[in-house]
Amino acid sequence: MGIEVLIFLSSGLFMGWSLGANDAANIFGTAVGTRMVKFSTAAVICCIFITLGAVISGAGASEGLGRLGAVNALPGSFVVSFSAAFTVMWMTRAGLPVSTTQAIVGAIVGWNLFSGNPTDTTVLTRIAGTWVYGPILSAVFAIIIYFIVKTIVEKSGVHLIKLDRYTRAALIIAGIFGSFSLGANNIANVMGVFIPASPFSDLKIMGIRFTGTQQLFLIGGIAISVGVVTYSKRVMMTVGTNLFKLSPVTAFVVIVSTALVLFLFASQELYQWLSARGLPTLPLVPVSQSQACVGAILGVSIAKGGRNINFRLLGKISIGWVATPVMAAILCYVALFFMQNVFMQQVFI
Amino acid sequence: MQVFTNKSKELMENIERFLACVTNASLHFEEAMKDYLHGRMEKFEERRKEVAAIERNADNQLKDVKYKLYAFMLIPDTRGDVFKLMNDLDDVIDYTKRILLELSIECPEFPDFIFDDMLRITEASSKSVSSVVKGVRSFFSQTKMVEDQVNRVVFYENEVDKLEEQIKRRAFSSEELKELSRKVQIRYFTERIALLSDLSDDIGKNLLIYTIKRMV
Repeated sequence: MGIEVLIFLSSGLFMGWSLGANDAANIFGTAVGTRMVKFSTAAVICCIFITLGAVISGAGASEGLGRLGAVNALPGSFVVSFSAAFTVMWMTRAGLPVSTTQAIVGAIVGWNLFSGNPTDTTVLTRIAGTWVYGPILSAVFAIIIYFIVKTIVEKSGVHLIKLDRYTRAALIIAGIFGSFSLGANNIANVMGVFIPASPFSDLKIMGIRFTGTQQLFLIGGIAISVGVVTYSKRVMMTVGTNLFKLSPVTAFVVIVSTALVLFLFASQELYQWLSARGLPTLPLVPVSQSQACVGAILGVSIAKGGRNINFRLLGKISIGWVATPVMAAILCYVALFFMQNVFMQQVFI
Repeated sequence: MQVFTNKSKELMENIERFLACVTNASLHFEEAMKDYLHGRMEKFEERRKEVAAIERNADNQLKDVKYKLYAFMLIPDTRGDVFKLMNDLDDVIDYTKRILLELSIECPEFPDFIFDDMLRITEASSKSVSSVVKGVRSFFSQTKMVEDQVNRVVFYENEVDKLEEQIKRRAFSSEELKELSRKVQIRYFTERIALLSDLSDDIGKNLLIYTIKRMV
């Protein structure tokens, strides 16, 4: 692997880093912020299970994203990933809630427009549809799980101190599930655009075959882990203490609901199981973890009587739904022009 | 996780022992008052010393509770409430001890016409303390029962208020009690005993708020 390949992969690694820095907070933010779980424990769990989720179950959502546009030249992949990462960074600095999924989708559409590759509107509609029903599904899960947990806690008459112990354990288990689901679903945002132009060939280590895509996902997983270790603590403390005033028990509800949504949109096994029985399936596409998380928090608020719902935040998220992909698409189009005409790189085949 | 398991268990035991101290102090207080009013001074002194010992034990338990709550980061979201609750209950034991000590030092004489009222105010105050302790126990495990116990506290506190007024009126309008100093002394002790129910009432009101906060 040459230095050129590393340079082109760097934008994906940056995307991975920012995903690790920001999205790990949605999993462990409340637990770490309220000191229910130590940051070191949270970081180790995130690193291991995000990487495992990416390598084991990352293919489904990545294929779904690939159907939107198969970026087939490494410089093109670099620009697409860079545009998405830059959009995420810019929107975050502007204080707008942002989704890496929407940014990458916008950037791919930008590449399609530039390369003259037709955008499959069915796939686009399916992905864009998840931006609406992903949070709704998450809210529904949160309401159901909230009432189950509430009933169990109230009926069992568990002592407050014991409940604290069980909640810690539950938060760790939910964090494992959340990390795995995040890796499985969102690795597509980090490395998905590099798959068609992947520089890796299959490897066999101790009798186990690692595909080029899995190697790519492993690198992406490591980049996410670096983001978790180096920067997520600050974001976790912000999420845990300032942004969402969740109790540790409701935090558990939010994590599980969010993770379930991500898992449903990433699990190939579940997809096959449902389609084999003629049941309706969910598309295997990357969904926004942040929006699923907001949906779950909204669900908990509704379950608690619908008070304290921040409609301004909801309005901001709606703006983000439109602004993020549009901005990423425009940025990607312009950057591809520069890459092709100024740096003389082939951005599509 | 093992550390949390052991410390959680120890903390639960400390809290339970502390609550038992509050109940015991209140029961001994009631009996000590009866002994005092009936003139059984030797038994009264024994009870007073018993309450002083319970208060020391409660302080030790409370010290352990505070240490474990903060040193091992247990119940981080509710520990502030639990901390305040325990401190307030500790004040109840302190007041109980203080009333008995002041009785022992000042040896006030309670005339016959307020004898029954003194017994009743003591009993009602003691019941308000017992009810608030039950409420605190419910707060830890059966939150739905808290309100019922707090209602009992409010009831006993109202009873105490009525008795307090009655005793004061009788004392100050009495022809039998000539010296103002004795009337003031009776008022002082009546107010001290009534303060136990006032403290319980305050704890009960806070307990309702803590319970709402603790609800899932």
